[in-house]
Amino acid sequence: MTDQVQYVYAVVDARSGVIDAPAGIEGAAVGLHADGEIAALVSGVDASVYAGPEVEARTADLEWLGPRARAHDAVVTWASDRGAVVPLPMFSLFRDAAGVTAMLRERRQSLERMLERVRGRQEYGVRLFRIDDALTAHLAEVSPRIAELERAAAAASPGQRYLLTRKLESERAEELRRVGSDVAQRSFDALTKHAAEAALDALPRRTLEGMAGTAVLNASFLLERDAAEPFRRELTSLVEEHEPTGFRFEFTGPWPPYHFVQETTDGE
Amino acid sequence: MANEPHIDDTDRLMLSDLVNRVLDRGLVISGSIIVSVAGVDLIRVGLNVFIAAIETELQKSADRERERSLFHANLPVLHPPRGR
Repeated sequence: MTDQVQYVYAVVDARSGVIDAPAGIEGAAVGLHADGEIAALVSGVDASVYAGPEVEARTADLEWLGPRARAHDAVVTWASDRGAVVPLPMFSLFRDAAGVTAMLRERRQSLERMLERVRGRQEYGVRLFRIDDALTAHLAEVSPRIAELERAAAAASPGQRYLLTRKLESERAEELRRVGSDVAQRSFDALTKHAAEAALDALPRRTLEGMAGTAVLNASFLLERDAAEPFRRELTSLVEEHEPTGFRFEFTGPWPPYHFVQETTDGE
Repeated sequence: MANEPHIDDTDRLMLSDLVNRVLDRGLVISGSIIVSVAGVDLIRVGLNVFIAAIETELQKSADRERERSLFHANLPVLHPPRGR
């Protein structure tokens, strides 16, 4: 028997069943470790693999990390489909069952608050990208300043036209940024109206071919289940309004509430 | 054939999204009860290393397992077909 540590995926209601839980990390069985009304979803994992110094090097290796990330997400998503869940990040490890119990007891109030906060809700992600070539072609439609400069340049004598064209180029770059952040803000505000909570994330860097655009919005929304449909309609109308003029939306979900389980400072 | 790289990219990006969510999000538990490596809570170990490495690693990954679709679970496809 190898030395084991307890890998905790998430905290759920103690009354949850785990009979139909998917396999956990490295195919390990997922158990329910209850204390009072709350419980941790746990698997025993090999301490020499997960608690040794080499784990740091392994987490930089996507071949190693990918299947484990999927297994972690599968367990948390399974729990989220069945009830309230507070996800923990990967590699939340405890020495033994007593450590898991201690964690649940120390944080009982906070964990119960978080379970209530996310109960009946799921997370969706929306990203918005500005496609500069396409947006430039439509810029005069959304920017009176650019429309005016384009008219002036077209009507100008050849000598004036050169200067006006130079001016137009620099104004365009600024207008691309302004229009991008304006559309991002309006989209975020429109979608937030349908959400119980919303969160902004750092903008992703995208370098992969085929995924063009400059990110201007990276947001997560916590939705009541019956808000998903109005949210989708709102997003559809944003897509119809903005994609023809140089924007691209990405929409993912439903996710477990990964972005909405930070501890609040009160009560701890 | 022409669509293959595009599908790969989407898979990679989805895996990147997934990994970032499960590594970087969720409730961070800190305290002495956590297993620690060299005095650092294991929960945070590797994250910085990972983020630095992910873009290049993603380029190499040929993982094509089914991934959570961009338009998963009862939510109709929102995009018009993308021009290529």
